[in-house]
Amino acid sequence: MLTYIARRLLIAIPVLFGVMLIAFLLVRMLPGDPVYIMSDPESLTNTVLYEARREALGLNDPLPVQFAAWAGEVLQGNLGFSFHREVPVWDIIYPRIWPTVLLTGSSILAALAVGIPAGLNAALRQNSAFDYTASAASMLAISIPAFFLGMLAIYVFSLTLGWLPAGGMRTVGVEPSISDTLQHLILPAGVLAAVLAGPYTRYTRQSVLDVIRQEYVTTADAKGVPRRQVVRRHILRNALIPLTTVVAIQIPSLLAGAVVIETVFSWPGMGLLVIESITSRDYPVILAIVMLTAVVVMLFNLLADVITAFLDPRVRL
Amino acid sequence: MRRLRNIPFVALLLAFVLVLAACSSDDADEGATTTVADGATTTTGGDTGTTQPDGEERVLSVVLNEDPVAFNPFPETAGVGPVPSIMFPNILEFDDDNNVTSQLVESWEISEDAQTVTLHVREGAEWSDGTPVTSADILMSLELSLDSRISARATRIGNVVGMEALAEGEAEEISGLAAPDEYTVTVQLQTPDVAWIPNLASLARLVPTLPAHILGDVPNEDIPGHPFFEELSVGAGPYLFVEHVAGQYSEMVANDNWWKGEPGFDRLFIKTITGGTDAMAAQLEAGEIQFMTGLPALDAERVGSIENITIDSGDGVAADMFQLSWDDPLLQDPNIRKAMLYAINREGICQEALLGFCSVPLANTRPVGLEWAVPTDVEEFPYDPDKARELLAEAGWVDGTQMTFLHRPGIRAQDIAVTIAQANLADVGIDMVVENVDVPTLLDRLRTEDVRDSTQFWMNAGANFAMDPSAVQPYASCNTMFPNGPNLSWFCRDDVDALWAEGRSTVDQDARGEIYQEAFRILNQDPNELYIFIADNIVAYDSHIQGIRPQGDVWNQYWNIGDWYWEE
Repeated sequence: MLTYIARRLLIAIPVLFGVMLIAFLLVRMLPGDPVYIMSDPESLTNTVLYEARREALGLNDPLPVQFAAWAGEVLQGNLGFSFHREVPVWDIIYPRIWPTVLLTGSSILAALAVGIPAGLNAALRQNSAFDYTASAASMLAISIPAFFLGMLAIYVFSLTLGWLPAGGMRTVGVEPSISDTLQHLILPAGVLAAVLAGPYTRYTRQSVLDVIRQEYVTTADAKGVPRRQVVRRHILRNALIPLTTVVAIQIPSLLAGAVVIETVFSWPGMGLLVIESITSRDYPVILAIVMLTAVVVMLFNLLADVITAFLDPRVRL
Repeated sequence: MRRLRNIPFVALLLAFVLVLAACSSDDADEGATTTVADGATTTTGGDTGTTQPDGEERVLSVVLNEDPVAFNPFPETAGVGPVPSIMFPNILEFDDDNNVTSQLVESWEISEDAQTVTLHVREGAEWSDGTPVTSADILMSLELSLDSRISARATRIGNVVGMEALAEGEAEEISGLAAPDEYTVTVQLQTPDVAWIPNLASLARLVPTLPAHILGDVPNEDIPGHPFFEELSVGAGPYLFVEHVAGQYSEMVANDNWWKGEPGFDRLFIKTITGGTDAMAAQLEAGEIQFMTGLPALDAERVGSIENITIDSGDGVAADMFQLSWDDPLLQDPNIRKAMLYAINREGICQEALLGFCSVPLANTRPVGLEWAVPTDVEEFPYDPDKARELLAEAGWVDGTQMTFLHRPGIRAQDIAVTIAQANLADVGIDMVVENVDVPTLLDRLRTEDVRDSTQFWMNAGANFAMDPSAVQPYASCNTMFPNGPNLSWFCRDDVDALWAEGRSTVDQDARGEIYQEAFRILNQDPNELYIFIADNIVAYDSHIQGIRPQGDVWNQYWNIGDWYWEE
């Protein structure tokens, strides 16, 4: 297993280099001059300042030179300086990482906590009232856009019932505390979890239905193995294998979903930073976020493979 | 037993959330730059917008639509937010009636030849560390703002003797600036310029008063990266900086040394809410903020119906407009541009998109108010599709010809305006093809001649045209054509340029008025922009707050925040 992990990590190096190159080219293909975006339009007559700024940002260099300079810095662990904010990119990204990890991580765990039991029970009791209810609820969760669900949640739980805050990550004027953060987390994480729980329920249900018809399940039943044990050892364990892949594959789209949720709930995570950076053409920040996302996706895919091997002994890594 | 099997998973979930919530709570502290300004004390605890149970502390939360990029006001306009202008009062600014005003400059005057400006500094005002505010502070602040090597504002203020020499390194200071005594600053102008004072005031928060006793010895070129702008350790405004938490808020405390006395609140939070006005309105309704600006008119009635929420508005200071590619072959005949004005139901848009929180400049002039400078004997363009068809026919317009319009979607009133205008123009035979773009793409499309050919008009808005007619000049002058200035329409007429120059240097107000009226007569018959509506700025706030005087400029609402107070 360790050899496999080491091999995968080695393979990741050229992949990451490819991501760097493609991301750099794509970002530079975006229309718009970052210096114009940074500038006050009425001050554009100050061409000296404009040229000085382009020169200082290295934007007058040929593209390969710019790529080499940026890639060289990244390989040394330096993500560069933000064009827009004129501070190290890491200083901008760092405070945003934890809010996003908190939001997405708790959403995934909550969605799994709901989706797996719901999908499992729906499959075990196929065509029952519970199955129909779970299927309808999951289809509803898949169909409703996250922003609408978010606004609905704010209307119901914040404005009508007054139970939870309408936005932000903490109450201003109050000492930061876990309980305060949790109160602010419930709505955005709950909405994101609801959106995720739908597909998780569907995948689990379908996967369990596939497994339940396998001969080894019939054999276990015929041998008189207690049903609970059959479900846990033979059905659930095998059914979760495709779900781990689904969760890993969903990470990038989850980050995209978090953008919407972060916007609706004013959650100070990476999602809003992505939007700000793109609209201001802040190349170093956009590229740093792309690289960070690529690393996360690769790590989660690796993690999914390891979990799959753990769940299915036939898989040899 | 069955329930117990779920415990490890639930425990994992809870542990994860708790650990990260704890990290995030700590992170808010670690990631923040925490500085307690001299002369100020911070306290903790508090219930936003209300008194503490012990009645000792009052906290106010207001809103900002973007996370401040930095607190150094010199490099750029964008992203500074209101913190610097609250701490460092603007040298000159404008009030809710668009009159020039100032906290630290008690009075100002311009000489009869309009070449010497004199600023009289308020005596008795102090910085938060007890140092008196003097002419040295104003002098240094003006010099920094006028140094084009570091200041993006230099060319916008301009016209001061010795600016070029400093920029070119031939002098170490601007010779036209002087402080004859402790409370007087004089500014020598290169050419007569009666608009110099209103133009400086219109920049408001972009030209703050900085402490000379801290920054006076710092070379100008070191100012942009100076650590003072991270610490903000001394101020002269009503509130002083405490900390900024990225993506969340800036915290300020009352300045005990403020020249006007105690401000109305003990602590001020400026919350970053980038989720748009819906998110702001929700937080206002939930009591998490007490003041918001830029409320969409379509939400005004609903938000205003909430108990203890007051709606107010400031008259707009700039039009939302369709800017025309003035030199585009399709638009060469002025009759086509005038036909577009007749074809678009601008008053209908004002009612539909803004519920009347707006006005429509029927004569299509850019200045707002300023009756002395705007002609009344000009053609007006009310909604008249027949007249539009007639003008188009005269111009030989081929029915159904396409015009490409670049739109930046996301602002509801503008979105509605574009939809209505598209239908109106189709009705008279102009096929308005709307392309949605963002700002960088828009500017990219308008930068080069070959790309401009595929674009006829686009949405734009902003700035302040309610203080002096000369503010229009950069938007319709040959030497400010984009990308060398903000004249995106590439409007260029020598006769208009001559009038701009004459108007700027003429001292007599009546004569000035005549000159600008003549310029706007020409623009009336040769329009480069279609002014759709002038939107009022709607603010909403907790009815307990008194002293708010809303302005038309959405993000200049905190100009008198020191005067706000809570009344039970």
